[in-house]
Amino acid sequence: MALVPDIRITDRPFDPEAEIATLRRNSPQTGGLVSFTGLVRSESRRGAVLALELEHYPAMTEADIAGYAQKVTAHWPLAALLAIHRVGRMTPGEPIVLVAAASAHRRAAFKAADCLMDYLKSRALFWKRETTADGSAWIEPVARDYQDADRWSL
Amino acid sequence: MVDILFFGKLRDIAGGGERRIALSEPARIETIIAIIAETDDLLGSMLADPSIKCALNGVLADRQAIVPDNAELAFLPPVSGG
Repeated sequence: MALVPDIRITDRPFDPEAEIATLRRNSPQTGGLVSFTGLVRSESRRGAVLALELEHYPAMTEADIAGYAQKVTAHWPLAALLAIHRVGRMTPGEPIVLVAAASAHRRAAFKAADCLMDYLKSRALFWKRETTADGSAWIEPVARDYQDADRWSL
Repeated sequence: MVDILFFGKLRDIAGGGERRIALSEPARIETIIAIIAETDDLLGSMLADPSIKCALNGVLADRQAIVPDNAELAFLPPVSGG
């Protein structure tokens, strides 16, 4: 039976620990669970961060991520794959993204979570604007983000 | 009518996320960019940059694609999530 990844975009704050606990309870046969939580930084190259705004394209973004997540589940033997991504206005310390992968063995879970996170960082359809005391600026991926994403060929 | 959507930095330059333009006949995406450039130099030159991707009715499209009437055309600048 094909695993259906759980992909969600939300404009509301979410609780990564509660989501991971639910995933763990729902995957009793799992040998390991890897998760990554991305948080809004308090400092950037432009100074102290006051706010971060994320926008997406509702007609495409979630479906596009779900399509890529299906490739991830086809590539590694997973028991569960979850991604939650915030949009809207956030302040430092708030969770932006949660990726979690469960598998019988750790290697698949680590790799799947790493791969899906690289996709969210530099390929998925999100646009990010950072506000500091100097005003707002759109943030684009750095070369390193693209190199990270290029490590995977699914 | 064609609904045009701008995201990220393009929204700021366009002065809003949406525009609607009337076409007398179906046109290529590159032609629509040229029409926009007639009244908005800066936005037109940004849209012409190859780093900007185009989506037609929710599917990535190249600039030679024909935009039918009642289509939704989105311009997508370089993305950044996480």
